[in-house]
Amino acid sequence: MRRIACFLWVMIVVAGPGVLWAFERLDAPAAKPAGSGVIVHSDGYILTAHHVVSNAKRIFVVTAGEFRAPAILISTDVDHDLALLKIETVGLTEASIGYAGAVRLDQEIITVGFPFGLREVSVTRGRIAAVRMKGVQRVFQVDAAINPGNSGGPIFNRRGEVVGMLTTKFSHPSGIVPEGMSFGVPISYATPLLANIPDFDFTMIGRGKKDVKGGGESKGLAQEVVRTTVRIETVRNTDIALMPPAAAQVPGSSSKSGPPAGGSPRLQPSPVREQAPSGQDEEAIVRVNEQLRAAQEDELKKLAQRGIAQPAGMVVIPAGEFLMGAEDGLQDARPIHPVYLSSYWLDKYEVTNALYRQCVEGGGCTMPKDRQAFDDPQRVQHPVTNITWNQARSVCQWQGKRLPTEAEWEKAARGTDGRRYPWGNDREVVKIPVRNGEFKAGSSGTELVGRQAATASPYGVFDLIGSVSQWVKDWYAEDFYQASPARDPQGPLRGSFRVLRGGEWNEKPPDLRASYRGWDEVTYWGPTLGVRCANDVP
Amino acid sequence: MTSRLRWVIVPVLVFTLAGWAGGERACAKDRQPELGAPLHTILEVETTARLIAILLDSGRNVINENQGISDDRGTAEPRLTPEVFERQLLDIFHSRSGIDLRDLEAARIPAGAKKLLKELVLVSKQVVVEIQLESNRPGSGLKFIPAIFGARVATRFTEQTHVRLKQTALAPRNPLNAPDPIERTALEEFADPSYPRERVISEVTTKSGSLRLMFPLYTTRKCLACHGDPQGELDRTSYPREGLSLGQNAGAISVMIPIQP
Repeated sequence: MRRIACFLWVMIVVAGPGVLWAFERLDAPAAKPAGSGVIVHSDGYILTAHHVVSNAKRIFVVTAGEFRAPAILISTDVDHDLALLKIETVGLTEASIGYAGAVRLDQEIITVGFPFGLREVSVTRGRIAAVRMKGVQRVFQVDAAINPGNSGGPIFNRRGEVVGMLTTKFSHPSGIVPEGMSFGVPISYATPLLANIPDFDFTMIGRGKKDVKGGGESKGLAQEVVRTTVRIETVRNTDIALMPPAAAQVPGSSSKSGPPAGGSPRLQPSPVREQAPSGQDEEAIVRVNEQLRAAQEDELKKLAQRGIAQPAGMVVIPAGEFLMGAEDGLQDARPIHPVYLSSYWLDKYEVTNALYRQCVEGGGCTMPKDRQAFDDPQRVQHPVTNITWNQARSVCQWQGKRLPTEAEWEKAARGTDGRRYPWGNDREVVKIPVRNGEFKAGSSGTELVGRQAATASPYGVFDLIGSVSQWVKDWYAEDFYQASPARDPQGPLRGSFRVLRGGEWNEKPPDLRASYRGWDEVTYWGPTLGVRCANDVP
Repeated sequence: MTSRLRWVIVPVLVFTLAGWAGGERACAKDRQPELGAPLHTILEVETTARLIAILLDSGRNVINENQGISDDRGTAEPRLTPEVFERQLLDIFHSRSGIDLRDLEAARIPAGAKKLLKELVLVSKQVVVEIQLESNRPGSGLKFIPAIFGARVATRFTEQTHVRLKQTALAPRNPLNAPDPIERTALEEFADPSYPRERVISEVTTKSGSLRLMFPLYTTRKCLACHGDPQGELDRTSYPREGLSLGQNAGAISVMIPIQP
């Protein structure tokens, strides 16, 4: 339906180190491989794979007629490895976009690209060998011969419509290079990118051309599709800056936490922090603690003026930004990122056996799953244990409260300066089971709530670390921090496990950090699990 | 970094299905029929397989919650009644999948999935009663634990439907749960500590003509009592402990659904 107007081959030459990407890419070898792309709109819009242009300082488009145009990056979709480029020109031949939902197994396809950065385009034929799904991501496996440089190149169906974009090839631990196994992203994932093109006609999707049959016409098809396939060149930044995302945004919190000398060192990765926390660090902690308490008192005053009193047994955590996660911790706590929370109330102590008993007697709760500790008269003021997530939620609801979110728990435990523990960065406190008779990590059970004054958080919340793990509201997702909303995050929509926060009394020091994320089945109950409740400040 | 199957791409939620099902469907009709199943069929089957895995795992959750309560009672009556079990099962499945099986008609899932999920609930209820009765019989070695529940449900569900359901692991205690080559490949992937947690693996190939889905399971605190340390020491069911650690992959639920072209 669309006529071919002119040729444009865009070449992506990569100058610089291999891509910063966790997966093995088609262009992994260091020797300047090229990438490919496809023209999706006549006004100079080109779709390619994100990794082909990632970290590029400059991107150039080289046409068949040796016309070389600089391109700008319009939009990227890192998750699906797609990018949209634009060059300043009009009247290009655009490829028809197909309907990826109609792609069938064993369907014939044509891939077009510039393997090894060769200037001549190559066309390979193949079939859709499999449709694989990992999580919610769909990928086509194609058996056509694909080589480095094909990355970002289109996959056409037999009607000459783009149904996918080549992105990855995989390597096997055996070292055997798999033959005829390459992967492509279905074109439907590009829809959000295409929406950036001002007058893109989505109604044309899947209405490109008639089926082409017979050898002669098929040759014509190949000629047509190569005209819309392009080559691009990029110049890469040689030093890949591993910039911690939070670092740039620290001022918001460090303005509160004092001079930069106190604020910035704590943001550095662990090697720096591991080395003896200096006296300066301790001073900074003390200073931040004073500021946080002052902010807390201010907030209380403001609330009092509005006629809102502090609920018994709760403290207020004033609204503001804090640093969540840790760069030097486990994978699921990365990256450290700033999160803004509205003000909220949080229980000073965990829910005790006594309080839970009131809830049971009041009809709001069911008995803990194991009643030995619950019925022990010696442990009336100990945290309640052996409750499932549902029971934890019930005991909060019965009090007219709710479960805290993971972020709320962590802010209460860490303050705004990204510290490692509620009391600062001093690891000595957790190293020894009993230090000055105050800390009991490693001993054999719960103890009276609020006894461990040395481990209280700057906001005056007790027993966050080293007592029992506490159920929070959120579902657990290992990669949630990578996409977490910056304001009042509520966790993923669905999941298999609920998050547990706070190192428990039988855990080892690495798990006792305030950034540590535990999790378990919603139905789990055990002697190391309890709860503390939160509430909204009206 | 690049030692393994590295073509996985970080998933983004929600929009995908909407994108698939949405605007592009209009022209599917005037397609020439080609070999193999269309992608939207594959996606429906994949959703079905995923829901089946979540439902079986939700059943395992309920058993976990009631483990120890039902154990070692010596009574003939099941402590966990099928009604209570069903209520808890549906609650957990609802919270985990967003789908309320009490109102199955309204659920926006493939029709085939509805039938299968209903069947799986039924089978799970029967098995709960049976295992409790058997395990409460004096001298019975059978325990009321997720693994046994899951294996029984899977076997019976496989007998009664066209779906093959199975629990598997690289080193299963039950030899019947040994993995086939496809399952082994997926399990080896799951076993890599750097493998993204909770990400299922599924695939349809031209050769197999069916969808295979592997839903990873993890060592939780409850599992450790029998499968944790000290490695090699016998647990309460007289099996040597595997020495698993918290959060480690502990196997998978394998679902295989044939795809009608």
